[in-house]
Amino acid sequence: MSNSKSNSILVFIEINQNNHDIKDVSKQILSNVSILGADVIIIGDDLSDENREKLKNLGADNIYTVNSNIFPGSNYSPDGFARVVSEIIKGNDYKFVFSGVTSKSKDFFPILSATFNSAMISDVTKVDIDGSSNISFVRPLFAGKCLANVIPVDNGPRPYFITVRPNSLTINPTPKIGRGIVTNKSPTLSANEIRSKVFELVKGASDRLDLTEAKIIISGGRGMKNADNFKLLHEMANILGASVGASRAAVDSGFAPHSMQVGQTGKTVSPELYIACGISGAIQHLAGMRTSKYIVAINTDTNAPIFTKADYGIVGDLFQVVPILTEILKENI
Amino acid sequence: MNIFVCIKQVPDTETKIELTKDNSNSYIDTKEIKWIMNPYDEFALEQALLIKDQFKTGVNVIALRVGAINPATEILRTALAMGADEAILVEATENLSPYPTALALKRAIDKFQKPVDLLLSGKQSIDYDNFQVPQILSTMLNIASVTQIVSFNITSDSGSGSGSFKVQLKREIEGGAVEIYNLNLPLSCSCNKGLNTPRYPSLPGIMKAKKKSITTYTLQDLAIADSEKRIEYKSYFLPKEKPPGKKYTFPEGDVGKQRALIEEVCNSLKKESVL
Repeated sequence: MSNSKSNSILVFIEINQNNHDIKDVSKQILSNVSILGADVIIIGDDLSDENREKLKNLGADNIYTVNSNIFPGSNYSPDGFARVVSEIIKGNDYKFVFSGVTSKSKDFFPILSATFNSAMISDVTKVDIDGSSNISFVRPLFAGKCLANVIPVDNGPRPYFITVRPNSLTINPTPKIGRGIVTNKSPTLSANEIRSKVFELVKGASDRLDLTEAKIIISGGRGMKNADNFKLLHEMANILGASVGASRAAVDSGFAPHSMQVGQTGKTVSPELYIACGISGAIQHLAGMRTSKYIVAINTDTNAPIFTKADYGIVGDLFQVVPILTEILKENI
Repeated sequence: MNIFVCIKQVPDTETKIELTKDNSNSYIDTKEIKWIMNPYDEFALEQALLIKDQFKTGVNVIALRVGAINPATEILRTALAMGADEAILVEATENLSPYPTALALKRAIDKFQKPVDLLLSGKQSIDYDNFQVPQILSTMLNIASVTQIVSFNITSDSGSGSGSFKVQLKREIEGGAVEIYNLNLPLSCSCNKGLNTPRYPSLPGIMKAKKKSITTYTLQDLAIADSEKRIEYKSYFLPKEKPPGKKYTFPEGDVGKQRALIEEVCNSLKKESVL
């Protein structure tokens, strides 16, 4: 392909392993940026006809697919993924390469940006495109206690690499329809180009969505009293299809693993509904969940700071409130 | 074996962020801030010290940071007191974005003239939350990179800190799943919470640290030009506060009233299409 015809944007697309649908964050990005002309790349996930059609209808022109057998014995390698995406970029003239914030993109996008000596803007929550197709971004700092407007400098090395936080953009309901041309790429990678690759993947105990992608989160704090009581939250989560989180106090007390921690030294989340049970609301916790669309807080202490952020606050004992809430949800959903 | 540990000085997690008033909300007011070692970097430093404890001889731990000289809270001194052997400070008056930070670290390591066997960092700093510097630096150093590790296991064929090493790492990904990596050195790892429990500096450690030297470079020494910035932070603003919500008191004893209250909340959420 000649550079003059190149689209200006490439989007790294990921597929959910549990339902084989395109990740919401991939859809959120593509539908909003395809107006500028966008290609997409998918690595290691065989592209179904259904997903090809979806990508086309979200605005994808070229759909580059890379077979899953390029990393024998494993499905991921940070330098391998960086190398594969860089091959696609080199044949084009992209100004921006996008991905959702996922454990893969967090890992290999900085490697990729370094191979082009260009910059990366991580974890953006807003993408603004002006009339002259200039793009600017908003990204949170200090886990969201503060936000910043960030722009690429003029004449900086291209492309810029951008990761977008899940659920921060809404899917554009009327995106440009793309051409949807599928091209399979089989890059040749020598063994010394792949330094780190996954030797073994141990699946997590939960098949729930990760906290960063969840639409509903139920979190427990020090008020849960012990690890065993978290089963109350899991029971409610099962009814709602929600994911279960925890405060730092709960994690540090050994009630929950760190992978469940929400807050400044855990995960920053933006679900549609966040139910905080027995969480007082330390400033570092509020920073990690304040962008939730609706917040419900249950706490015995009427002065707990969590109530300042809650849309619906219930001053009461979670061990009384949660079972009734679960019962009502069970009857209604 | 040389273990380089990247450390950043950041505001404490309980810090309330205020913008400077003088300059049209353009920058973060740092006057009232309590500075700490970035919590994830503490795990990286502790891991380096655990390796030193494991092999007893042949391990040299070098802590390095890019940032302003601040004698009152110099966390490199804390790192030396915890057990690091040497320290490097790259003086920078403002917070650099990830690319120039990594470039400054790369050039400081080159100038220090000790080969990198292991590079340990926190997975991200809790101020700018970029999650980039370790991977960019590893690419510049041309070594393998694994991020957000929760387990680190190293064995040496000689049993000491010199010889040939094998490393097994565990990296946590979405949904609590774990990727296992088997690698050789040189290697870069960015560390996550859960890896270890950082030690406190001991009194003898603090005394010894006073005698250890901190090698200092300026950005000019490392030829880091302003053009390396690549991105510009144009303005800063605080998130909008939500209007206050509804607050209910859970009635004691009366199950009917209790149910009615929770049903009211559920119905409100249904109206907003969240349930």
